[in-house]
Amino acid sequence: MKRLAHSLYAQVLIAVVAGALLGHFNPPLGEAMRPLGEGFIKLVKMLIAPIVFTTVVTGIAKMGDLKKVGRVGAKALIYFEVLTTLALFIGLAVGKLVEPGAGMNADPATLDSKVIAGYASAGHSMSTADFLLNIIPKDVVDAFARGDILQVLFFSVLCGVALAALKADGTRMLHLIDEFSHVLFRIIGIIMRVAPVGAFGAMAFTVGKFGIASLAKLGLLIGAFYATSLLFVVVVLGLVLRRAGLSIFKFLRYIRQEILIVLGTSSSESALPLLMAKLEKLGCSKPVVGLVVPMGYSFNLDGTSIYLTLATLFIAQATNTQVSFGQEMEILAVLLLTSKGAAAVTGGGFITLAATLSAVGNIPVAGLALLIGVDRFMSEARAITNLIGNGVAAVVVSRWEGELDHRRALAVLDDVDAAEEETYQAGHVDPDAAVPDEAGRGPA
Amino acid sequence: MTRLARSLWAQVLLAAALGALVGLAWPEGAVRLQPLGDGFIRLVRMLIAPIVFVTVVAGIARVGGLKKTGRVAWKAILAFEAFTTLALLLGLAAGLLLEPGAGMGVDPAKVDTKAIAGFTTAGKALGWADFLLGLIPKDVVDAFAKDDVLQVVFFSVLFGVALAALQAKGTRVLAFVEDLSALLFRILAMVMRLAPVGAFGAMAFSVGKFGPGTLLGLGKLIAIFYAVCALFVLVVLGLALRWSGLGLGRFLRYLRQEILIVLGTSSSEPALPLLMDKLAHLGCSRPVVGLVAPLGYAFNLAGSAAYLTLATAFIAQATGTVIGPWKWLEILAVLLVTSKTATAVTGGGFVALSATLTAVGDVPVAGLALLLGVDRAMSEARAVTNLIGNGVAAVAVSRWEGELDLVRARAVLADPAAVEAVTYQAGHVDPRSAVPDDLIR
Repeated sequence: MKRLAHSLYAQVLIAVVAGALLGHFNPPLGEAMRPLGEGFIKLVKMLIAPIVFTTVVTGIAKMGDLKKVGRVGAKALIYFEVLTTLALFIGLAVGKLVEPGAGMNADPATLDSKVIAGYASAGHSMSTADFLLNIIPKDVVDAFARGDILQVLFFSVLCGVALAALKADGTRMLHLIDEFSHVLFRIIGIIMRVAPVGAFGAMAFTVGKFGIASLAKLGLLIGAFYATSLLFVVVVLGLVLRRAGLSIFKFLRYIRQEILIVLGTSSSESALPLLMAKLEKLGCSKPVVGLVVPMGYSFNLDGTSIYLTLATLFIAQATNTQVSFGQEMEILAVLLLTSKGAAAVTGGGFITLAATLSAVGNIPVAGLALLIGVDRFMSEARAITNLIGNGVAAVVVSRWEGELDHRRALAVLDDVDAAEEETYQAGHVDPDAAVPDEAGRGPA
Repeated sequence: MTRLARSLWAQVLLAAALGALVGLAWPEGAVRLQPLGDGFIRLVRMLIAPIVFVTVVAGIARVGGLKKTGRVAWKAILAFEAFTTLALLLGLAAGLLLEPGAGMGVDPAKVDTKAIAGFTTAGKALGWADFLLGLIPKDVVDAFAKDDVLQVVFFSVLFGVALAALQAKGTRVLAFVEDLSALLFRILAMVMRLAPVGAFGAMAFSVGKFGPGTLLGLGKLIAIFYAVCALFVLVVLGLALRWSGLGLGRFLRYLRQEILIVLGTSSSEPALPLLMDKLAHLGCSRPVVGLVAPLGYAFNLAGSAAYLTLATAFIAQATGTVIGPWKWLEILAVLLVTSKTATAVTGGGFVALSATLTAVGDVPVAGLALLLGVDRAMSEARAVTNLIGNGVAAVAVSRWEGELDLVRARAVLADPAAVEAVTYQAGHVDPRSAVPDDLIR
């Protein structure tokens, strides 16, 4: 019982089940629980920009070597590119094989596209040049004020490299940012105590609003998506992780708490800080984690990628739109770009999907209306796959850099419970992360 | 060859020339290079508000105080008024004497005004009370987020004066601001390496889009405008510098990198942070530079002022509108106000011109459409004149305050190459501004 009270993941699991039951047996009350889930996501989201900033800046500045940042960044980007392309292909293949939308015969004209007008305008198709220009903040403070993660990331990299170049003159500033980072992680620790409440509210709302039966209509799509995600995690990520010398199942058990938080809130952002702490604990190098995981939240959305191709094909099939092979390739090319910005816009994959459909052109954007009801149910699998994909990415890139403490990783994975208790009771003050006062930043 | 690799101004010059060539040879492709120029301008712009903040605060807190700040501000405004009024008169004189628009016989009713609709609606004149109220930020962070430089200056002055009044109690905050300043200028130095890329893209775009053909069409107007700008720089600014004890030729050579960046991107904004850094290095007092340069970007637009009177005269002549001497005085009075609201962004001068024509009433606003194609060609000269005018204003106000280190300034001007190297290698850590460590901990 005492263990139960202490273990965050058990609490979250119970909350999810309780929420689902409440939503099922008393839908109006379940719907009324929505603010609990939203509130929790807001609590976490408010900290994302500063946490990304402090982590990336201290990470890069401590690495103190521009070339190395460039190399880790390049390796991470290559890895992201390969994995998301693979995910896009798999989604496309499954969509063609299973044909989840076939036979729906939905007439685009009868679909009420008013509901989705808001989404479609937010995700107005972006050219590559605009996308790149928009990574540069209009103003530094503006990037933080709007919580634009890509812009914050861009400025953080500049800041980190500049601080590293300043050497001793930047020591005082680095100390300040490092202390700030500890305060932020402590705040996250406090917020995580209410994770079960958030998970309960989000679950009760979803089931209360859409009803368990509402799933049946689009069950096939959801089923196909879940199966594909599972396959992707077990087979693709499993093989990738095997090459790094670790077992995917043990890894999943190690990050189960983060997975459950994501399951409850259906936003992979909520688990970002916790995931980073855990990966460092696993033996990944801190600078690599600080760079790869936040970068991955913009560039390495495996689950979202699977979803995007699958959903695009689903809408095409449902509206009886013929898609030629050339058009499929065009969809892939467009998605390769749009899927990268998914995390930069609040609302994630759905907005990207709208942007993609309007960019490709011949698939009716109005078809999105079919997905509004079930998007919510798939966003969980999307978020979890993204989360696992980012965790694996950090491990693999660390390994690639020769900076994965392999022995430590094996040991930690074999004794997950001990590791977990330690992490959360200490409120994550990693002794390795503190800067030794006299040395400043090591050999300058 | 190694000199070229290290010298930013030479790279910018080369890149701009290359961009112009690409624009001539392959206009369709060159137009698509615009994001390179825009990207560079964005990179610098994102740093402007924080750099203005740290420069103003550190300057005032270290050497200033409320009394001095007020005195400097007054002197700066007087200098700005003198410069812009002279520029307005010079532009008007050239317009009336040389008559660039005479004999064109344009019927304003037949001009297609669709293309200028955006400018005419943006060019609403602002009342003085609104303008003053607009200086006060709604919220401190909001001023930074909106990138409103005047609001940032306003808050920074308050912050700096308060910090100066705190004396020893403010040491830690001041040290933090100066650390931040070192960090920001280091980031700026990194961004500036991309200046050649930005100049290349912007130049290729300008030439590719507007081409040599449009330039020839209104060649007389453009030639007159360039001559007016040159005259203004040589005579008015030259005299102001001479009064300060420095030579114009060397001063221009010292600022060649900034001038080239402005030429390449045809916007004076990307050079603001660099200009502030260089002026401080020249030996101008830091609080003066911190106040005068950012304020000058809003109020001391000499090039834009000359453009406004010249263009008004041009449109009046081209459309056959007769304007009496009294009306010209009225136009001048209006321009004294509207020329202050022209922002330093590319195309800002065009908006101000539209506001002026609207306020005056007699000269048809539709005449603006005549200038649309060549505005870009003239915005280069406008931006460069604005830049040099701001640099000279900072030097002159420093001198007026008796805070120009003349010995240092002359030495620096005599060997600008050495100075450029020093500024960027050290990431601008001014030894005079370093706070002794024992004071801090």
